[in-house]
Amino acid sequence: MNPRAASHIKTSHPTGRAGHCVAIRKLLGAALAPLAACLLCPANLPAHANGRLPGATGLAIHPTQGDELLLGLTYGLALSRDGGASWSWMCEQQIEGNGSDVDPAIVMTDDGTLIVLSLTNGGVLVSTDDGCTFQRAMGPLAGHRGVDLTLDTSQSGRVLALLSTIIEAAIGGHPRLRNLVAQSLDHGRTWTILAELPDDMWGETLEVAPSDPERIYVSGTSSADPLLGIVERSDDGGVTWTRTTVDLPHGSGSLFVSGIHPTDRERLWFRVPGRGDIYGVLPARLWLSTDGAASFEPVGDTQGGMLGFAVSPEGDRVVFGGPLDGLFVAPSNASTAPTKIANVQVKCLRWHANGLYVCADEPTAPYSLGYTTEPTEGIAPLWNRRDTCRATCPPASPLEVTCREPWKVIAPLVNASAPICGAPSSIPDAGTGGGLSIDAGSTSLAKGPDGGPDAITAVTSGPRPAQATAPKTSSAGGCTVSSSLARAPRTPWWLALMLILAVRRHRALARIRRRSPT
Amino acid sequence: MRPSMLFITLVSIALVACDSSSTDIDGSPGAAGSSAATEGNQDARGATAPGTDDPAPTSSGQAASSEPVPGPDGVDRPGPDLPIPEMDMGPRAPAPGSDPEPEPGPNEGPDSEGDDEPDTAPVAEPVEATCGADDSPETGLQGDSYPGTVNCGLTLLSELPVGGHVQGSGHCAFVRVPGGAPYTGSDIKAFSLADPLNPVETDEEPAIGGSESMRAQTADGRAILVSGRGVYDVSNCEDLVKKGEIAWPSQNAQLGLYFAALSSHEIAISHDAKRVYSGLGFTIAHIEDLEQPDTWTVKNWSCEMNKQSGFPGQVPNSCEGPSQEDLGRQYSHSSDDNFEGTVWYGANQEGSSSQMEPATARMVDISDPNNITILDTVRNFPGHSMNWWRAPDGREFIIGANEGLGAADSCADYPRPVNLGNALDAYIVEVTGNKFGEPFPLTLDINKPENCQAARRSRANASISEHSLYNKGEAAFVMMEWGGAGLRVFDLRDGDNPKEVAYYNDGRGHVHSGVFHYDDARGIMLASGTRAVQVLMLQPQIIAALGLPYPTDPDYPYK
Repeated sequence: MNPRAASHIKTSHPTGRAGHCVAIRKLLGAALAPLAACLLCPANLPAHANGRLPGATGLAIHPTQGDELLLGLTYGLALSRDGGASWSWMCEQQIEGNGSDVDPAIVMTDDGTLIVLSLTNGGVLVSTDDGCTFQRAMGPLAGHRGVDLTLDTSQSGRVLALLSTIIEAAIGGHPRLRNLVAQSLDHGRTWTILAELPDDMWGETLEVAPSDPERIYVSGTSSADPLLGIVERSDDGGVTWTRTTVDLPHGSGSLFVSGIHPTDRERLWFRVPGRGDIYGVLPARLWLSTDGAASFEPVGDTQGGMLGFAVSPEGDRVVFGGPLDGLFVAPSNASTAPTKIANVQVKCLRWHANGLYVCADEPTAPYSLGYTTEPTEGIAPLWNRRDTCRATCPPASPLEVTCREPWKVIAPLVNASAPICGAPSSIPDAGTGGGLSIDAGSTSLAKGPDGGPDAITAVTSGPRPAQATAPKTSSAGGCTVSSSLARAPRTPWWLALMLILAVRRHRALARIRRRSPT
Repeated sequence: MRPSMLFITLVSIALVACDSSSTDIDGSPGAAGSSAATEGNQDARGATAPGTDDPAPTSSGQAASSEPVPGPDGVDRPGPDLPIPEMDMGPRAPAPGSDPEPEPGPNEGPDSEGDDEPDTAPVAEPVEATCGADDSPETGLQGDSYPGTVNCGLTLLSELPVGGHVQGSGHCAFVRVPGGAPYTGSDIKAFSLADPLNPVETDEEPAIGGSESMRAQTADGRAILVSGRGVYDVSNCEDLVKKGEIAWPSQNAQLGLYFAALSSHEIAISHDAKRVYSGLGFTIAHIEDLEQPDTWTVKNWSCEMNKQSGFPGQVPNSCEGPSQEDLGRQYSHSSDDNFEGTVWYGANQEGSSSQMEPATARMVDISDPNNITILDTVRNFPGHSMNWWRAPDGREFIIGANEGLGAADSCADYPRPVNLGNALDAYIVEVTGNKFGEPFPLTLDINKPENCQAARRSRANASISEHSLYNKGEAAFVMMEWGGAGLRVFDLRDGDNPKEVAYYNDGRGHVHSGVFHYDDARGIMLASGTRAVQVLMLQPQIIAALGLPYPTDPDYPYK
């Protein structure tokens, strides 16, 4: 099919419809987190395609170097190679975000390569120079909709991708999908198809058991019935697959493999969220399977969405949470009920040998990425939105060129302190005013004026990246500025309003639950 | 023949006569009859050799009779052209501010009102669109990046001193100044463009609620402006009069999260200005009696659409709960109806885990206020933007497009993905007889696969986010917000063969989802801008080429 264009160029009539339609999520709901951000955003805010305010939504960690972090943002990515002491930003345009409120899956391989699932053009984007340039790897991924990426931490450079693409969407009928599991053995540069799964499933997540790279799980739902969960399991590296189906609760419609025990390939956790609830406003459940997804046991739930889940490196505990419910910890054997340990609005969780990382929403939380060695002992800010800065790449690099204009929009929104990473802060160092602050040279954090339960408490024990314990200050060596929250906006009115809205939202959701069968 | 008709004819003759010396819209001289020479891969702009993707966008390709000359901004300009001759304006139209209107034509839409006699240029022999003598046409690929301003057929008259979404009615422009949260406005300002060279602010009202853009509609005896929840009477366009608020059912909208609201994320106004349609779902607000807002009703059809389209009822909020208005399948973003208000057209942007279908357009029978029926469905048709029109031959079409950040890969061959983010192309499909035809893409040369390397080199970013359509009498054209390619105007009278007739691109871009407005009484086109709203004049030869009524403003063309 040719396009029709231009004033004088006659083109032929169409010979077919536009082809593979890549399905991705679009904005579908609300949460208090974006609301809070909205209330704080500057006046004259330009209307963006996705309407979201800057925040963190995901985190990938180097499989062996725990101080190398790739943070997924609503407006691109931020990379740190030094445990969070300095970060560089890549704009959404460079990584082919689609301007919506879905962020691409990301991984970092053991040679430091960054891999991003393209939401717009398909395939994956691979960077070996800290995001200054990305190369597209397509091969057999071409024409397919990527939905998930995961690392096989047992094998250097092995990355797996799940693709689930509508291939037939008859009007009034159930769609058929091409579900592919692809793998790369060279850090994402080239790909092969590992397996093709049945076409009656919406593929959603993909995981490899840390203790057995031959054990692969794929989850999703039936294309004919979103309340029929499907788990495809392979014990031989993707050659053969076994299917398990499970009825999902009314009002859900998705099934995510969210974590596999580090030493027990049979023990894994599933989140059962409201379908499309990317903002985390609908009830979600946490299920545990101890027999390789043959059976499932509910072990937790949240009133709002459960956007974060992580298993401890030792496998003895799990954490989960969401923007409306806070952060919970529980024993991995479900021997006791989960315990709420913070009111933070959880957007993502990652538990590494170094400690637990928590994505949250500023300014409700004093950080966009927090860190702690021990979840029960408080969370320290590791990255704030205003730490956003553009990396110093060679002149005319794609990063420099592509992100120049987006930066003009983003910088004021995040109150960026330095335009270029390493440049002096444009904002005088803080140290006055209210809010939380970090003492230089220590990890003690003072409670802010609200004195709320999710105000930061001391982080005192356990190993952690050295940089994370130090105060982040403006320096020539990085883009960081002070992490003091002294500059946090002091606008009590919005806190009050947000609280009112939170109560309203909770009540509304409660009404739904009362009316809906469980 | 009315004097104005005679004048139009004279203008047309004059333009055709000087055509050989004027600059064609594509930058090449002598546009008339040039289509045959520019078919296929040969680019009329002369910058791309057939079969190559290596254009020389700034200098090559000008015909010998019109050697390019460096412009003040360093961009080569076409060679000397004869100026458009001064025109006898004939009898003067009513004074500015009296809002003279064009005649009705085959499209007897509510927008058409006024005199009894036709006042449009003849269309039997279409006048080739040409750039004006003082224009700075693109010298390379259509839609490429150029330093400074490139324009053809559109002249900047003035700028309103505020940025934001703009709409218009009568001799006025309305600008929604961005608010403190996404999709909101702080204020809506009214400007009189009775003297388009010197706009005057006349009124200001607070914006209420939020929607991605702001819309206005002028129909028989009424003119309304809607932004978010707020409905304003603009029949006296210099005076914004708030008439009431629409109670959009979305809980998110009620909480101020307009960008995540299935109703009122975006809006559209029916041709008769008596209903407001919401996106992302499908909700109709009936606001027939402007004086009695307590009689207004809102019908949320999302659940019914879910049922009729086969969306599973078991997933969250398909048809229940207060969040039902915020979660679930999308059916629209922008939307539109036909002149009669009997059929509504909407399309979603993508298939998603909750969408459970690819980008899909639907036409819906809305003739019964109490029932709707999906009449037809077509896949792979995105609808962040959506306009319907009826061509002079009676055939009906819709045009829609996705939105994107400009990251779409223009090297991708057709058929291209139509998911969110892929907004290089618009899509058109015939809807005559309430049946969808076969969609086809509409694009700019810079977005064609064969030019993708050139686009990469120049960092072109021609990505659509919105468009607005004019369809009165014998005329039908669309004003497209094409990202880095600026405002592009396409003649749609031949729905199978859209033809670009004018553009204006100062490199500053427009607001996301920037909408436009054409005032046919003054020949003025309003363009949403980030820092300032542009007041543009559609040049006489373009008006003639489009078959538009000649502006009745006695000062047109403005000097």
